[in-house]
Amino acid sequence: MSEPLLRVENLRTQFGRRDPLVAVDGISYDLRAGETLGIVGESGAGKSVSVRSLVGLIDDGEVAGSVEWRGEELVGAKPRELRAVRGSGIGMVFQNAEAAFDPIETVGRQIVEAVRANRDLSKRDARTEAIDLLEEVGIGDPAGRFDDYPHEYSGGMAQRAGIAMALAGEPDLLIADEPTTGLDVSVQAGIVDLFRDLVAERDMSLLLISHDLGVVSQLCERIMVMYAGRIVERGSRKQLLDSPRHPYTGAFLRSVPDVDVRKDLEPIGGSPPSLDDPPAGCRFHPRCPAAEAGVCDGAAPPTVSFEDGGEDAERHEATCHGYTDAHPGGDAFDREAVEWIEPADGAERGER
Amino acid sequence: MSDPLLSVRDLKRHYPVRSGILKRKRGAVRAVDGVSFDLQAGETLAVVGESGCGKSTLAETVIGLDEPTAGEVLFEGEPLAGTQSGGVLGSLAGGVDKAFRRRVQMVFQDPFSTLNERMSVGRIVAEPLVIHGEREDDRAGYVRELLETVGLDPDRHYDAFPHELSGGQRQRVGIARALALEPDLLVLDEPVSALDVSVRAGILELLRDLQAERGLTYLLISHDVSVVRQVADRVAVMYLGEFVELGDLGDVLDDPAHPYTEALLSSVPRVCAAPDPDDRIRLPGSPPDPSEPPAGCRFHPRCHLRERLDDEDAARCVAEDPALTERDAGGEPRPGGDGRTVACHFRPAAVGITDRNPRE
Repeated sequence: MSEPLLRVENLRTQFGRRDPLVAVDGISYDLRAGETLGIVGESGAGKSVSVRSLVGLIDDGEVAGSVEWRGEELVGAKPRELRAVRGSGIGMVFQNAEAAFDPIETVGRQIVEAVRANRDLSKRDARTEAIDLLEEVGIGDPAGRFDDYPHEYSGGMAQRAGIAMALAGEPDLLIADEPTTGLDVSVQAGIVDLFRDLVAERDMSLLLISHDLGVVSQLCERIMVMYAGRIVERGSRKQLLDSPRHPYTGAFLRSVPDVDVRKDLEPIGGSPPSLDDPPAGCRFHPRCPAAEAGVCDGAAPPTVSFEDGGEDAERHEATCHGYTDAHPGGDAFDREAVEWIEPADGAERGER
Repeated sequence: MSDPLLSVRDLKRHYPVRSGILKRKRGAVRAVDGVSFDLQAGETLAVVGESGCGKSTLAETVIGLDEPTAGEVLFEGEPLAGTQSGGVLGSLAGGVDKAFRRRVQMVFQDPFSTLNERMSVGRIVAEPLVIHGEREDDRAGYVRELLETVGLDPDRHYDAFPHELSGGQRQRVGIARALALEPDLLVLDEPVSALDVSVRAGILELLRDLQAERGLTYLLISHDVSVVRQVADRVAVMYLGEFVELGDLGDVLDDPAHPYTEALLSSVPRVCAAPDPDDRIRLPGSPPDPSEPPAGCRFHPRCHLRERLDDEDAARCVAEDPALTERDAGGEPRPGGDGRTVACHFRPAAVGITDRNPRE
C-alpha cells in the first residue's frame, strides 16, 4: 500500500493554559491519495478544531502531536511553510464561504491572485485559469460573473466560488468543514454532486467534516465518529452504517429522523458534555444505555477491532469498554461478532 | 366535519420595494401571495419549503405578528381583526382577537435568541401568566408543573439562567412558556433547526406527546422534510409565496405530484451505505426573485417535467398560472382521489409520465 498523504498521530489541541480546554484529545488517522474520509459528530465534538489544527489555523490554542503531510511535519512548522501547504497541497473550504473572500475585491481577481500565488502563470493565463475554475465548479457565465463582488453571489454560488478558490493551487487534498451547512437542500445537493465530481475527476482526496450523516455518507467511503474530542468509532461507510459498534454511533444513527419513514424517535438522553470538564473514563458514559458503573466511568476505554465486511474491508474500530471482560455486556452489544480484541495505541495513551 | 380551528383565506403579504431618494414604491416582494388552508383541531399541518419561500412570513402573518396585505384569517369561524374585515384598530378591542392571542402561541427556532438572558427559567415561563394576569395564587407551583411536563427538573432548572442550559433544554423552556396559557394552537417555526440531531429527536418526541395528551393543534414551519415526516399529518409545500401541493403526509411525501415537491424530496441527502448519485432529480438554478416571480407557473424555469412536454404544453406553463386544485388540466379528478391539491397543469395526468417517485 502506498504511503499516506496525511498521517495524523495523537493530535491534541487545547485552549488556555491554566484551565485548559482540550478540544481535540489525541486522535490519529491516515489518509491516502484519492481517499474520501468523513468526520461526523455533534457540536462541540472537536471536528472543526481537529482539521484546523492540521494546517495551522488555530490562533489562540496549542497543537501537539504529529501531522505529517507527504512525510513533512506540520506541527510546529513556520507560518510561511504552512501557508505554502495550504495554498498548494491542501485546499480548504469552510461553511461560511463568503468569509473566504475579501468583500471589497472581485471574486475573479481573488481567484487570480490565489492561482498566481501557487503557480507561475502570466496575468492573462491566470485569468483564463480562474474562469476555467469558476466554470468547473458550476458557475454559469463564469466570464460574466468574474467581475462580481462576493456579496453579489447567492449562498450556493459563494460556496462554489469558495471551492474554486480552494482548487486554485491544484490541491491533492480538499478539506471541507461543514461545506453545505446553512444551505437550502436543493443547493446542498448540488454542492454534494460537485464534490463527488471533483474527487473523481481530479483524483483528489477529500476530508469532510459534517454534523450531517446524510451528507457524509453520500460522499465518504470511510467515516470516523467523534465525540467530546475523541474518535469513538471508525470504519468504512458500510461497516459503520450497517453494523455500528460503539453505543454512541448506534444511538446517533437511531436518532437521525428519516425522510422516507416515520419511526419511533430515540433521542440520546442528556447533551454532549462540556469540554472544560469532560466526564472521566468513557466520555459518553453519562448518556450511554449500556454504561457500567466502575468500568465505564473509570479508565479510558480500549480500542477494539472488528473483522467484518470481508478481507478487503477497512479496519473497523470502536473505543468502548463494552467488549472487554470487565463489562458484563448487554443489549447494546453484539459481542459475538468480535473476532479479536486488542487495546490500540490510543487506549494506552488514554490510560497514562 | 366541524368548523376548522383556523382558516386562512387567500392570504397575501407583500412588502413594498422602494428605491431612489424619494423612496418611491417600485414593486413588491410577494412573500406570501394568496395562500389558503384549513387547520382542524388536533392536527398538525406542516408548511415546508426552502429559504425565501415565504413560510415564516406566513406563520407571522397568521398569528398577527405581521399584518396581511390582503386575505383573511378566521379562528373558529370568526374573522380576526387586522385581517380584511377588521383593521388594525379593531385588533386592540376585538374579543376574538384577545382570545386568539391567548389561545395561539409560538415556538421559535432559536431558543437562544428568544429567551431573555437575564431572567431565570421560572420567570421566563411565568411571564405570559403575568402579562395576562393568570394564576396569581400559585404561579410558581404551576410553572414547576410545566417544567416537568416538558421534561425539565423543576428543582434544578426553575432558578437556572438560560446560559446554564443546553440547546435542547432551552427549547424545552421555550415550549413550557408557550404552553403556560394553555393554548389550542402552537405555531412551531423551525423548532429543532438549531439543535444537534441527538437532541432534536427528544424535542420532536416531546411535541408528539404534548399533542397526544393535550389535543394541541400544530402549524409547523420547517425547511427539513425529515422533521416534517416525523410529526405532520398533512403537508403544504411552498414555493415563492404559494402552496404548490397540499395533502396528507403519506400522499405528498411518498408519492409527490408537483415536480417541485418531487425535486425537494429527491435532494435530501439520505444516510446510505451505498449511495447512488444518479438516483436524484437535480433542481437547476436558484429560486427566482420574489419581487419578480416568473410568469405563469412560478416553478417553470426550473421544472424537470416541463422539459419533457411538447412545445404547446410547455408554452402553457409560461402563459397560465396553475391553480391549486384537486383536478387536473382536463378537469378530471387527479388519480388517487385523496383530496390532495396540486398547482400543476400537467402532473400527474395528461402527459402520461409514470415515474412519479424518483426513488423507485
